Amino acid sequence: MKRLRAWILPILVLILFALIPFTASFYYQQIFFYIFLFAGVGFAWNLVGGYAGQLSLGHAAFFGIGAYAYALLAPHIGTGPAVLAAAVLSTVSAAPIGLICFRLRGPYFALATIAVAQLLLVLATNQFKGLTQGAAGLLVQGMVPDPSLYYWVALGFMVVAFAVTALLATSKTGYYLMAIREDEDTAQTVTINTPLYKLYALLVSALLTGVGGSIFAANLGTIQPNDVFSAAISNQVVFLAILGGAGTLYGPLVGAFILEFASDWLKNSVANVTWLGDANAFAFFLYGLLIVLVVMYMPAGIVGTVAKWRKGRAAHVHAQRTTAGV
Amino acid sequence: MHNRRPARMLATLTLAGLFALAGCGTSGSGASGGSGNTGGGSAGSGDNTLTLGVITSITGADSEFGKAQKEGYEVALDEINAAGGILGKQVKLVYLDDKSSAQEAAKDVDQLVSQYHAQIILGPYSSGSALAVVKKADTYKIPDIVPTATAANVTQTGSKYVFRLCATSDDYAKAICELLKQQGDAKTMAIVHEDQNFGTSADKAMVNYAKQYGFEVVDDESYSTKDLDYKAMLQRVKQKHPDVIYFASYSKDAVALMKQAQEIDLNAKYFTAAGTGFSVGTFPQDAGPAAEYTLAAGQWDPSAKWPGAKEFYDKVHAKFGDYPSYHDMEAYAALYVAKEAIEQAGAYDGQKIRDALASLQMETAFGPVHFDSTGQNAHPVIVTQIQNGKFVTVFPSDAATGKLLPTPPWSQRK
Repeated sequence: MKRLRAWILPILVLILFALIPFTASFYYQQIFFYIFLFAGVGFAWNLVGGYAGQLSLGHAAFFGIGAYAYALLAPHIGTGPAVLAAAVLSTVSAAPIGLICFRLRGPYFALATIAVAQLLLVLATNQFKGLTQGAAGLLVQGMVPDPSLYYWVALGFMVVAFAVTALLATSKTGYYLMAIREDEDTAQTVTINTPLYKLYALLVSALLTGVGGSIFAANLGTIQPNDVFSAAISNQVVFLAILGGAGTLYGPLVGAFILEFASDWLKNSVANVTWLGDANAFAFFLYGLLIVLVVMYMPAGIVGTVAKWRKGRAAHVHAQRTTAGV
Repeated sequence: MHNRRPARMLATLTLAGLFALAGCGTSGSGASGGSGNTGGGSAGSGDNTLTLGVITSITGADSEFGKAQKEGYEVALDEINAAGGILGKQVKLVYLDDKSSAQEAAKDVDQLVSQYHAQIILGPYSSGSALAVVKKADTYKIPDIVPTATAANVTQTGSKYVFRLCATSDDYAKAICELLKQQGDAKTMAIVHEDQNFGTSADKAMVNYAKQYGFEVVDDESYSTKDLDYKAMLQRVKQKHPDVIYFASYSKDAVALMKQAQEIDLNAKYFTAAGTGFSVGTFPQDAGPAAEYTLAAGQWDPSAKWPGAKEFYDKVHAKFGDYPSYHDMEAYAALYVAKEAIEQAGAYDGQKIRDALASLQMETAFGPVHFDSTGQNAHPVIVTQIQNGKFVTVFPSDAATGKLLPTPPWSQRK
């Protein structure tokens, strides 16, 4: 019964999401497109960065590989197989990246992931110009016949990414990953094959991120290395997961929601307040301030903090009841 | 796992978001400007303003050029409104920032169409954003006037809704080669370009034209505008002793490149450039003596023969205190082209405006405007040289306002 009740709210939320296209303008549908897309990629990142505690700052690597795999293959093998190919290629590429980066721990791992993404950005811009057209950009074939359908594609992607992470996180693997996050050495001594499980999390994460990249490319219709391999993409995914709550199930969605609407609001409202002078720069400042405040005062993210707070209150109420009973 | 409680909070947040959304969706608020939100599309609503949408780079790497464009649009807007507006309506401009990113630029098109019922798009600034905007405008079947993006592929997407005012990176390369051929004393060339869409296109064009004109390309270097120390790269160029160096650079990098060329004593008979950073009004001040003698292919100069050119320069300077370059002028002309097309169409309707643009013939302060079947305006390119801190047009001869001066080695300059 309790298990059943836990499902009611997610389903209600999903129904609400499904109603949005009937009430919102195409612009807001596109905003939701990016919320769902980046929430999906955020869920994927969460497996590695949240549950396993391996701070990847280079998820743009998989995002970009997925985007380019789709863009280059779709005209030849069709859109469906191209998405599959994007998934396979980003997963395959994650194996060597994981083997290299997971030799390092903590900040060194984080730095290595930045380096890999940056390396791919430079390669796609300069070395593989014949293939990627470099910064001149590639035109990308659409995935669906009507642009408004991308809303559903992104929603579907997010639901799948959520389901995969939810299943993994509540399984034995999820607990192994959390054990690695809490204390990798202890996890190893209790015979958890830590390199294997970390790699496993990264492969699943890369697969989902690659699919996200292909959806991004198809929706935009054109890509250049800077759009998909840039640190901006990596950072956005990390920020939204940390803002919402790294290592919580719903964190990335809440984070994506807030970041996208904050960015939209700042661009359109604050940016036009003339007395602020260069108000657009001020908008960026506010955006940065939000992130700093959350990291300083809510290190568990919004979902994590609220959950902790409610748990604390419940315990408090419980304690009051017991003392009253005495 | 304590799933339930976060789930409840998530639902609350979603509901709050949906309410906010309902507010945004219906009132069309949330973007710049208060009145005239329902502007353009709602003909016959009694509203006497026409709202036109502009996409440019107000923040990010290209913000300097976005600012220049905004100044051009503002001057044109004042003039047009003073003369009675468009179709008898006063014009309002909505500027949307693309944050110098293609993803944001595409979203801006959605916003202009959804919230402002845009039937024509002006902008964006950069070539990278232009490609995304052109793709989007094509799906809505509304025309896009591209004022400044020079990369060749902007008009090669197959869209019938793109109209580019400026000459392309091909035209830049060709003009420089023509000038060098006329001079007759250059044989070898090095190309130094930034690695994004603009620089890559300019590089490709020059490699192509250098071959046609018989110049040997002895070095081809690319760099990121994010670095500002180019000495190692310039040393490599120096070792090849090219007669000509062709730069394709944005603003800060152009200044750094010339200052560092002076520092390492890199000499060439001709320092040439694909306009842009070498053509902005502040370049002679920022680079100081290092800017002297540099040649830049460009689109326009205040000394141009077309009526209104000098007046525009003075107006921008009086209103904003800046020295306008062709980036300002292209935006200025773009709004006039939009005005002419909308008036010829007789209605604020995307398809009719597109058809009007396709057959447009008009004179502007930027020169005559007529778009070919790919949407490209045949705009003549000029070459300017910086002499005593001022831009002097030196090529072609019928537009020249001064003579080309030979570039002395750094050691012989005062």
